[in-house]
Amino acid sequence: MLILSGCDIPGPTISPPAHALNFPVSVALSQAAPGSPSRYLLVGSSNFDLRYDQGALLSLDLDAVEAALASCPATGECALEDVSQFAVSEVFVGSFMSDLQFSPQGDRVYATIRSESNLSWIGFDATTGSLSCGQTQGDPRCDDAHRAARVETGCARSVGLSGDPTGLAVGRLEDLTGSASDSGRDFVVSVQRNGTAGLFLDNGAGAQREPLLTHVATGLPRDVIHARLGPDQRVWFTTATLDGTRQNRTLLQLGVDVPDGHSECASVFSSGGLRLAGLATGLDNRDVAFSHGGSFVHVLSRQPEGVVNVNLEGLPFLSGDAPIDSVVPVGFGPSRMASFTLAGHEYLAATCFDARNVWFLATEPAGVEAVASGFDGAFDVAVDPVRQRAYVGDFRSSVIRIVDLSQLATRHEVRLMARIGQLRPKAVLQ
Amino acid sequence: MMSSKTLAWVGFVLVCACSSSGTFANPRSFNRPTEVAFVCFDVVHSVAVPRAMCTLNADGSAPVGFQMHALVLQSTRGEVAALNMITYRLLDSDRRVPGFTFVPVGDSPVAMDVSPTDPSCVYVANRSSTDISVIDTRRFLSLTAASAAATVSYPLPSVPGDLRLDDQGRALWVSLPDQSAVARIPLTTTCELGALEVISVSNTGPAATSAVDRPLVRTCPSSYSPVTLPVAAPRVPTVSSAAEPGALEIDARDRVLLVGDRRAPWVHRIDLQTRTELAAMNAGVPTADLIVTPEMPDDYDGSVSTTSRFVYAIDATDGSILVLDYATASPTFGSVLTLNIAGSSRTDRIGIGVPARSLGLVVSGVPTDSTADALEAARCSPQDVGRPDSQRPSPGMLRGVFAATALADGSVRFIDLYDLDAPCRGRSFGGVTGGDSCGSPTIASDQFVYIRRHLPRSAGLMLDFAVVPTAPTSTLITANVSLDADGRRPSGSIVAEFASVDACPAGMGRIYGQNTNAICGIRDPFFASNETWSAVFDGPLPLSRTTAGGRVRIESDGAHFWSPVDLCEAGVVSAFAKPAQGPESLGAADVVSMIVDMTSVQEARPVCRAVAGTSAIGEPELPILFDAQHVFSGRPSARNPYVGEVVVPLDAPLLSRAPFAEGGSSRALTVADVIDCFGTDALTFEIRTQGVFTVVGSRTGFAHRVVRAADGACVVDANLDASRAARAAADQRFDNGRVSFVLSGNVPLGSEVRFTIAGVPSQLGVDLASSASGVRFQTLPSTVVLSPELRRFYAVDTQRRGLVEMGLSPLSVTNVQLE
Repeated sequence: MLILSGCDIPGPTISPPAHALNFPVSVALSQAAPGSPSRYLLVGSSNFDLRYDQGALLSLDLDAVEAALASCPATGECALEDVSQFAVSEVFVGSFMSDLQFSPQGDRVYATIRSESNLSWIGFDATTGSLSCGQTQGDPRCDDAHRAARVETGCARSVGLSGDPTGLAVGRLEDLTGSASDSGRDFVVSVQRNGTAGLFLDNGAGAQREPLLTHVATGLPRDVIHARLGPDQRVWFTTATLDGTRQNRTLLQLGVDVPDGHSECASVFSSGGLRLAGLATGLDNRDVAFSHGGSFVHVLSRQPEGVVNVNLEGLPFLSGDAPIDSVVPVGFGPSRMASFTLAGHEYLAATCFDARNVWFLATEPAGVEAVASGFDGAFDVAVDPVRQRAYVGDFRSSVIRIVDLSQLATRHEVRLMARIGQLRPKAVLQ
Repeated sequence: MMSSKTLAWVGFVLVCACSSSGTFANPRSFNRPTEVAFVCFDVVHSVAVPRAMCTLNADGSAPVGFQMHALVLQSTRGEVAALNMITYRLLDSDRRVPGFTFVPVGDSPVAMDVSPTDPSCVYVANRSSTDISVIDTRRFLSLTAASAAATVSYPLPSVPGDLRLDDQGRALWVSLPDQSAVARIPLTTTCELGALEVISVSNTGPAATSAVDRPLVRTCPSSYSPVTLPVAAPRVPTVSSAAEPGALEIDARDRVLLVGDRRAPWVHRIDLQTRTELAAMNAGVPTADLIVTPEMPDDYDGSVSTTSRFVYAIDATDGSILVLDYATASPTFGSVLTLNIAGSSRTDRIGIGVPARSLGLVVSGVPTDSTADALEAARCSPQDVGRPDSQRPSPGMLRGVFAATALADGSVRFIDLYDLDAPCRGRSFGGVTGGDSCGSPTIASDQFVYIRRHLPRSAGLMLDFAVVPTAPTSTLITANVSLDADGRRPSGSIVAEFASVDACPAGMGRIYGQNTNAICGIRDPFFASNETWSAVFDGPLPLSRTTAGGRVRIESDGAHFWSPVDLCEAGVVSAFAKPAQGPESLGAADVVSMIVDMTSVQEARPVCRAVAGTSAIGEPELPILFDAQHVFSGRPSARNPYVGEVVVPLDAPLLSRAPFAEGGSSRALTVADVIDCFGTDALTFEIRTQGVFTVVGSRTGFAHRVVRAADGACVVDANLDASRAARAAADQRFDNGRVSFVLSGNVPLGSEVRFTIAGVPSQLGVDLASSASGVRFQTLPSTVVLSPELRRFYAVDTQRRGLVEMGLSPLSVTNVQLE
């Protein structure tokens, strides 16, 4: 009878326990003034095994982490298993988070949630590290209003988002319009695996602003894996295709157009691409990063497994191809990459999920500086150059691992110094 | 556990139907292998012996009791693996540990060397641990007592970049990039290092110079239209605050250490004897890998008394390969050689078209330390007898001196330096006399021969090269016709056609035309390329299009059309910057071509229909055209993500539009009408030429001389080579240094002519990524190296292939995979 009537029989649900790391998939550092360290680290748990009914977003106090690290031995990995001593706030979001980005002002984080096929946004207090998304006392779940953006209705067009969001890019609307009146408003572009991209614009300013889905671009290459905002304010997105299917070795960019005074009619559009030719095979690209003031784009490739350095001011061998400067091999299963500057030198940190390590590369001359080993499944990485730490989400073991970068610039070496959280049993994902 | 199995194949980049296959060391046991070195073991006494002891017998068998081993550096794990190259079995260096175990060294090893004559020790430079690991070579043999010998670590003052033993095995040289220095470490006794001496290298050198090498060519047929290479302008060297020594190479003949620099344009030179720095060479760019050639004759027939030497280097900024004149007596010593035709994107580079990752020298058929006299003596003579069929001269027979390079696309290719078989190619030989230097070849298929020093070795045996084998097509709207044997259209057709070129330009020959020179092209087999060309009247500039991303803003000087495209890079010539001379002067200024898809509201307005070129509702829209008055890229006022900018007065008239009748009067349609009808955002437009054909090559693209001026304006740089041309006027000869033709007048708008040049021989090479199943493996080779004793060439692949073994006579890869 229940089946015939289409009723869903609710089963027992288990909410995530407080401050549990369950397959951390994204990490992001809070904004910091120049020369100052980031105060908080946000960790998005994907709930990959659906052990709980929600994913989670946890805010960790890095000053407290540093204080704990001070008592760690100088060698070996220090286990900081009690996450609660560093946790300052936690909210629950949908399962299968795929990306997490701070707003340029640092007062909000955006997350793409695959289980909800939409954008979640969470307020962030940069002073206390607390998160807010309509949760209530005793129920840390984000409310519906923070889990699905409303659709902009001010422009005479139909807009709808579908598909699996895999990455997002966040920028200042003011950087696109040049208008001071847009100060404090964000634009967000999410990319979907089905070859669409959604543009979200804030409809106000300050803490009350709300992202509205304003435009959806279709017809983009499918198999989108990730996206990054470039210094040119274009969204660079990577695709991973397989031989014999929808082959695509082009690194594509999206531009955002905002009509003067009519942001409700803003649109996101394909604004070109770079063909990664001359590689075996160049078909599987996982992330991009930028250096040299934006004149170099670095592509984290799985075919080959390496960082492809493209000099955007260089001369391609064939017209229309990316001017590849060099290719530096990294470990098996490269996944995510972050760029950072340390002691005046620009570096890249590339996580290698299958090799279970993180590679640190110099950008000029391009080459491997050091490799940090001892991970179970390194995935996302965030680097605080002031603290000289890399924070790596270890997906397989459900911990955050910390790499000491203090010797990177001088001795070209790094050290896996600590982990936060309790190791997940190995047998779970072997 | 280890067995040979015929599983995998490595493909050739050959068109001559040569087959090949692969020998792969077990890649699953390797972890980012980067380097390989060879050690000969006396397997009876379990001791390393001079490498020459492992020289294969004439029949290819190993000498009894001696077996060569490859030592393969594992960069991620910090280990050295040993592989028996006779049995193709990996050595387990510690049987106490289950599974194959390699010998540990320091962290992040970057370089390895072992003396060919005194192989007691293996030296490994480690980047992260900043030291040198010294391994007792017996350590690799797990069953000996010495297998427990500890690896000794010697600290370095800073991170190493590269490591080399000197030619006499008396010292180690290590580059120290952070110290702008190289270190010399004497070997006091076997396996012990003496006091380290740091030798700084200077950050100065001579001015960059360039030169053209004396052509050393063997072709059959011997007559062709050679291209004259101009002396390329020297590159403006990159400025660096400090030298940063990297790659090392030993010039054993002159006893000089060559040092590539990762930041500065110098190739440093250090006298190995006196340990003093010699004058550097100026490569114009930082360099990665280096090789130095032996002294080689400058001829194939004894007619010239001079000899040459060269340094090959990889340009660290883009992976291209450059060549420096390295003959001590040469008046152009240290100059960068011109290697490509005028108008090429890189005239001073070898035309391979893919970034190089490593260089290796192949000296085959003669001792590696052969002199020019020895090479001359070893040259194939047409009267040679007794060479078995399998050893006969052919493109794949690598006997002589060649440069090899491992490329980012996973292939290994070869560059001709001195082919000992060149005199016998394309002709009769083996005791047969008579005939000219080309013709009646003993090997019938070796009729067409193309060998030139510093050029990629040709793999092809082509009946004819660089021709247009099929009739060009000419298209107008839906009419698509094949032109006749002289490039003429069929009677009654109005499509574009070729007129005859009176005489092909120097360096070119007829590549299409039965009775006339319909199309001329490069007939020099070394510089021609397979390419498809299209010429579209008023055609679009290929990189100029913005799809639904253009926007327009009204300012005091008119309408500013913004595009995310760099319009200078696209080659746009505005009315303001139209030159009076040169290829860009042809036709009128470029035009903006806007493509619209009218909404019903727009279509209901007569003025909008007129702007869109439709006379009635439902008709398809035509492109909206107007002159590009001023064109810029990257102006400070440009707002992200927009780069390109076209400025047009609002009253600029639309082209190809009749006056618009309104209220009893008529007026010209203008840009203001476009904006009024179609708004200011999400616009789709591109730039087209006006009154000329837009000529685009599939490899060359749209060649132009447009650059960005200081104020962002796109202007023509007349100092650049005028062969960078892509605008062809009707009834005028078009010549871009690669093709030349005349397209006839009365050309209708939208006419397109297309033809394909084919038949240019492929480059000889091995494609490490290919497999018999068609699946392409991911590959990223790091090293190529010769083992003269095994008469084999090896590539180390960091990714899935591990160690690949290639034979050289002829080039082949045996079809064995280890597992």
